[in-house]
Amino acid sequence: MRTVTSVRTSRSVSFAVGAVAFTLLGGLEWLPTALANKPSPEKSTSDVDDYELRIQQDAPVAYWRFTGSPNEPVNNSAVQGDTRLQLIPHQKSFQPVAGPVSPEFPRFSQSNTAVRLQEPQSYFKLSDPGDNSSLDFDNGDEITLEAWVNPVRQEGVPYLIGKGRLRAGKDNQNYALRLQNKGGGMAVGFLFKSRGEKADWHRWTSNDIVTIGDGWHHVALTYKFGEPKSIAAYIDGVLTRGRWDMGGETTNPPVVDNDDVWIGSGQQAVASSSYQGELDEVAIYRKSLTTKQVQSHYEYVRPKFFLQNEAVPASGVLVQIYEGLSDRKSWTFRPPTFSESFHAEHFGLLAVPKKYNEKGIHVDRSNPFLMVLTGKAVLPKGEHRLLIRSRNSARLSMDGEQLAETKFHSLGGDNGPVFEVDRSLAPNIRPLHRGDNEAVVTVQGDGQEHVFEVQAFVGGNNRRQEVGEFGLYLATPDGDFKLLGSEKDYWLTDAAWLDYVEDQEQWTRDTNADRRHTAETKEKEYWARRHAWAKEIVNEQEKPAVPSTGPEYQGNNWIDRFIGAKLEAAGTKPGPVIDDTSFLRRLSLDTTGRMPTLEEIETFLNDPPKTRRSLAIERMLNAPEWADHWVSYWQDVLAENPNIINPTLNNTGPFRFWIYESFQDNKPFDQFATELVMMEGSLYYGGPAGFSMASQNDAPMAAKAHILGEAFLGVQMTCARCHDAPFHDVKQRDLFSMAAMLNRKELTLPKTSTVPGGSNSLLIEITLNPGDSIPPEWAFDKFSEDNNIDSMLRNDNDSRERTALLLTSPKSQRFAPVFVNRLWTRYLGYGFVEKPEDWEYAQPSHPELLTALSQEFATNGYNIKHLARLIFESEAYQREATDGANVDPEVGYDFARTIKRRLTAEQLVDSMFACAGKDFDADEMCIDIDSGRTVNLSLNLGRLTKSWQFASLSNERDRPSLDLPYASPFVTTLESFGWRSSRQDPLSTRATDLTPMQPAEVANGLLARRITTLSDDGELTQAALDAETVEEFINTAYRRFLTRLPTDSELQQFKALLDEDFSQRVVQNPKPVHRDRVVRSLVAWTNHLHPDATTVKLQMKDEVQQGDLPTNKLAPDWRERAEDMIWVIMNSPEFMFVP
Amino acid sequence: MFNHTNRRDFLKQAVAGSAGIMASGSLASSLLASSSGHNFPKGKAEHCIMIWLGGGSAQIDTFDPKKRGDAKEKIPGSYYDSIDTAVPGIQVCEHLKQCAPIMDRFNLLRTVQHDVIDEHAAATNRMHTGRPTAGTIVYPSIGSLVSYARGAINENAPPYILIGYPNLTRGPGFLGSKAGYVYLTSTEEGPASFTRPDNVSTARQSRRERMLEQVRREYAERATGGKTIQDYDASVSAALRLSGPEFMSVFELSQEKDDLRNRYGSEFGQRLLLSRRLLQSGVRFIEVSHNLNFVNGSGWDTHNDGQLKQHLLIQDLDQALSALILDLEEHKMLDKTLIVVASEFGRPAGFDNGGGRGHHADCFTVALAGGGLQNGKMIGTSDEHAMKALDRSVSIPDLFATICCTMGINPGIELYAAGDRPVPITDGGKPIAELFS
Repeated sequence: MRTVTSVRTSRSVSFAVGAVAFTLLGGLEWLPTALANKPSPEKSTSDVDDYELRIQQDAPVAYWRFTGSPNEPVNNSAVQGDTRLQLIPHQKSFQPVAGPVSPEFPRFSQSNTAVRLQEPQSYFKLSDPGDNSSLDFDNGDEITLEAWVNPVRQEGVPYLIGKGRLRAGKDNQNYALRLQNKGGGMAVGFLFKSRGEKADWHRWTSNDIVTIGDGWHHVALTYKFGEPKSIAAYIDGVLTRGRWDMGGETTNPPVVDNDDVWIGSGQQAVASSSYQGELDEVAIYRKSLTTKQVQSHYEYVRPKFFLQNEAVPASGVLVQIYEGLSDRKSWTFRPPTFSESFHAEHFGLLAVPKKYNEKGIHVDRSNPFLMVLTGKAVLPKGEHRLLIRSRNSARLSMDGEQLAETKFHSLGGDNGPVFEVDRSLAPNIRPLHRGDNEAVVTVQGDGQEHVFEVQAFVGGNNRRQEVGEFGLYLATPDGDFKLLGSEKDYWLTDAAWLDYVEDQEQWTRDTNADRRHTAETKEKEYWARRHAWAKEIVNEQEKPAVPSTGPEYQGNNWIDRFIGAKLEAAGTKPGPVIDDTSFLRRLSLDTTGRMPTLEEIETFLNDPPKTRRSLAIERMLNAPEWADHWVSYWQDVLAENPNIINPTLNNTGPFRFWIYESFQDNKPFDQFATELVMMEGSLYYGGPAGFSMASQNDAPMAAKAHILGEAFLGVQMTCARCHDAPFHDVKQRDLFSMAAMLNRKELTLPKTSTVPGGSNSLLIEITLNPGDSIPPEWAFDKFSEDNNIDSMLRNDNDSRERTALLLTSPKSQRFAPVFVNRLWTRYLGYGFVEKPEDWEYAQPSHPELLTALSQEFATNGYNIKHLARLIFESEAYQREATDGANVDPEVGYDFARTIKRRLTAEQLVDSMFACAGKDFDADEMCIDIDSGRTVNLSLNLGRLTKSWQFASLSNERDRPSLDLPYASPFVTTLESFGWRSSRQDPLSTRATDLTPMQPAEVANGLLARRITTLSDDGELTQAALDAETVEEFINTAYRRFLTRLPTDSELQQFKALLDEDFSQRVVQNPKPVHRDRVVRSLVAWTNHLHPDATTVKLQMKDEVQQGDLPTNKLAPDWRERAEDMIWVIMNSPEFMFVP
Repeated sequence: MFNHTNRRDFLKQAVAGSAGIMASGSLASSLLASSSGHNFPKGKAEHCIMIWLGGGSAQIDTFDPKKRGDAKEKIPGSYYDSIDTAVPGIQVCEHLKQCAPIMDRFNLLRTVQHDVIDEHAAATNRMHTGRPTAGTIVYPSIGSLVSYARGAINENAPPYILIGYPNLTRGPGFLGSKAGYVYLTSTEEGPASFTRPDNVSTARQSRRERMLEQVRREYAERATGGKTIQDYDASVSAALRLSGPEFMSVFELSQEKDDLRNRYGSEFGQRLLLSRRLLQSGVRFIEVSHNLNFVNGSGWDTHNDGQLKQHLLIQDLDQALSALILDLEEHKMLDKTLIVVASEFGRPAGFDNGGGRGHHADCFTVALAGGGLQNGKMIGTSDEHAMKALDRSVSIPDLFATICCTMGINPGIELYAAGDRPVPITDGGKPIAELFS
């Protein structure tokens, strides 16, 4: 039951000046942001800059308007024709932008321009004319500094205007007007150095802030040197208090000399002192402007804001997103910008669908953004309660009248209380999630339809953009709450919650896919051109002829002819083809990453024998888990390494989600690789930008070049990171040249990327030294020539894009073959080239086949499923497995049989749960469950339903309260089978070392115990209840776990076990298994130091230790015997291997 | 440039020594002291217990006390009084009063130094792997290094056990899962994977194993996949053996006398008692975490009011650690067992606004005990605030080299990552010579 989602193209905000109808649906007030807001209609449409005249009346000594080209000297507008106080642009990289303009800022014309400063080195210089100049201020002098700003969020204390303190070691700050990151915006600050014996720094910081992301603001500061109490600052014309927070107040005089004034930077132009954002109307006065004067400089007419005019849907809910909201805990803000809208099924969301750019890449929204849900619902007759829950503040209105508002999100720190579980609102209510807020309102229902609207802040204060358990619910005065506006009943109770969550996740996935596909329509045109180009190029290459073979070696398709010809020549007979169910099991593990389900087995067996394998291949290729199974592989190869707490261990962003979506879309492999190299989009929420991160790594781009080299070129550069590789023809310079290309400019070799003390080994040569500068250069021409490819570049000057193209080009000798070899290794157990990531000594066992498959791949749009289908169809894939004891790495493998493969850790765990038909119930991969920490410090990797979604538990602090008890048994099992919780380095082939830990985990581990316990939630339990005969149950168990039916002797053994009391096994009117589950949303980082947090986590751990409680529906003795059978089947080595 | 054959030959030689290492305990001769030509002091310890004080224990409030300070007045210094010990010239904090009389079994490394203080995970990683994170490789922990190099003592026991929360810094890194730990988070139950569930009686277990035997036998006859399957099948037997009564009885602390159990004290003490039993069963390396958060909220990470109840943590450590040393001595195991008391960093002498302490890694204490070393020595002298080394600094690689040598492992030997990349077992560390002579 899903509504089709429509994505609207973004339109600009509708502004209404004067008397335009107020069409805001909710009861929201959009208050003016400044007290001094007195619209002057007669000036509002003027094209004359009243502002300039106004300023000139107040007679500044210097005033710069940035009306011409900002890359030319900027004249002083305070005095006509003055060239002395000219601003000289330091670097000519300024962007002219629109400044404050009417009608929003009525004192300005509609054509007023400003300047954007975006790099630390871009600032304006003003030479001091000499002793006692108009720019020098001493005790007794009054000063006013003024500017219009539209800042972006930045750390540090950027300078707007500063005199002195420009060079290393110079503490000669005469005065400075600065901004400083504070709360959701930037405080206004003043700084100078006093002179004399008690010379010191004196810093004053305002209490109030300039908001960010919502347009232009006016800042001014007045001061009389020698009178510390005289200081006053104004933000948008409003006086703000502040304090001397460093050095304290002083009557001492400031340092005065002939140093320069800089606009937009200071302190040697270091990044933390350089202003990022837009700047206009900078002025310096030799007097303290009065409050009235300052107020007269700021005039603002708040545009009437009304929601994007879209029809309220008859059913379901319209969701609109507005960005550019000011970042403060207030419903009083300037109008944000409409960004997009879509339809939801009801008034509940657990995640806001993602935003995609025109390339289909997941990008971030402004933080915070505003979400508005509007829909119609019938309010039943009689007294009812409406409940609104939201992570950040939300407002509810009905028919335009505001009914309720929840508080702003406010949790932080680490020692907060553990809140009592409160179920007083309704008998079975799901307790409020930590970090969420709620509001209840009682209304008299009339049985009529009403328009409801919920507006909610999402994110803000640099927190993750989560909505919590957001929803609008309805209940009778003492009944349970039900989600409003939904066709399906979703009750706000613990019992019903999982069902809701699963539906919501499915909806979010589908909606995201829809939105992504719509967004990337144009991008797909580019890739169609790329693929036509690739086809043209490859079609000109020589094609290996398919060999003819004797009938025994013909196989199923042309792949087999290449393999067969070699076998025939060597006189080796190919191994037999596996039976149907073994094939299905193998195929299912290779596509979905888990064993086939009963339904899949049945469908397969019901298909005609001749075509059932092909039909199964088609179905399995289209199974949604195709994507799941691929994520694990690329997590290893691409060293995806997110960390949920304080990422400091060479961590990346969670680009797993981008990998998942790429394979969900069957994205062409060259596009996949290109997006990875471009590293665009969201850093912390799962876009490919996450790949760019390498925490506490001083050469991140070298790390990335190393990973990309292994992944797509088959060049192993581990050693080259610190010295020329001893066994490889790769110089350290090659790696760093590519790193510089990714970096888009030259790189300096860091000290750590070398061998300490120089080489003392005969094997290691060092040809680069720390501090050496390495320019961007393509060093791998022998694999991919930088020749005649420019027609496919969208930006000729972008060395990163060039790298992407060179890596993925059809002209590359490596791109397609390396991938073909990866795929072949994955499915056959051995490659044409032994090491997927290292082709230095590659002597492919079947060069013609490798070439033919590579050409097939390139001429079919790098479609992975196309290639996989060919391999699955081949007889080579379908043959019996061997241990590969006679494989000689020197000559490669003949593929007379496949190589036996043990299940990967992920295949094992995902299969175990699929076999038992149970949910993971592993909670979520997050410690900051109330979003109390900033985005950069804590990730939320989401609810855990598949093995690839786990990550390091990150409890290096050893605190019970930071444990993730429900996830930790999974991590234990996964790790013992070779899964890595930390992927600091890329890995193409996992070690398959045997340890007793592995079978021990399957025999006794906490996960295995859950699988072998027949509890109420397992499908296997239902099968035990439903079976009409003992054989039926044994067969079902065998099918579920081993895909096949039992052998005669197996059947006999288990019949002997289970026959007794089979007919009495079902308990009549069983007592339901009751269990008070620990509420899981009580402990977060924000209270983990509180002793109660430890207590809660230990209770959770106990619950996990207890495992799943056995069902009461089966007689205990029979149940235990049935469980023993399951245990036996699962512990058979047969379970552990791909057939 | 090496040609193809050269490289393969080289690799074959390089891995020849380590090819046969299994968790079951065979020794890698090339990693051992006896087979190496390098000159280094050869210790005689067979086991190692590393006690981990997670959060960063304050050296100035434990093993390196100084003149008292005042948290309220923000006067830097110790939070407690100091007391004399069995070793003239060495004082410890008053709350280590049971360790003080047996300080002659200790060696205090008072000037351990590194440079990671901003994040616990990174510092914990440094202290466990002996190196900064690299990006091209994941380094193994000290527990993995030692147990890999020396194997388990007995095939019925895993070589490396962790009593505490699993995390990657304690993991095997590039050595792979064979060098990983088996963990438990409390002494109330053994490691889950080697413990039969409560509801599986001995009779039920035998029934399971009997039926499994038939299924395994049939599969072995039918299976394709040759040695791959046979090897796994053999490891199933090994796992069943390990979860059998012999190894599992080690976890039955009730077999110990009440008096001894009381001497060890709290849950942490019981962990140490269990450690002694595990060593006796053939475990090589045990890391025991002292994570008693609930005592003061933050454990050893004593910012702000975490400081107020820090003495309870110290007293708890004191009782259990002294009991362990004396118990090992009684069992004549102290000389064969190196005890390491470590933390990710120390803490400064000054106080924060909340009366607690921040992080400090320039100079802090790691305590060693037993291990057949020349005990009763103090290595390095810190300044009046225990903040800087006055004479020498002990680097983390040096600490690792010292542990390796004590365990009879050549600290200069190379391990092989990803098959062919040589990685020295320590980052150029030099053992502290005077501990060995």
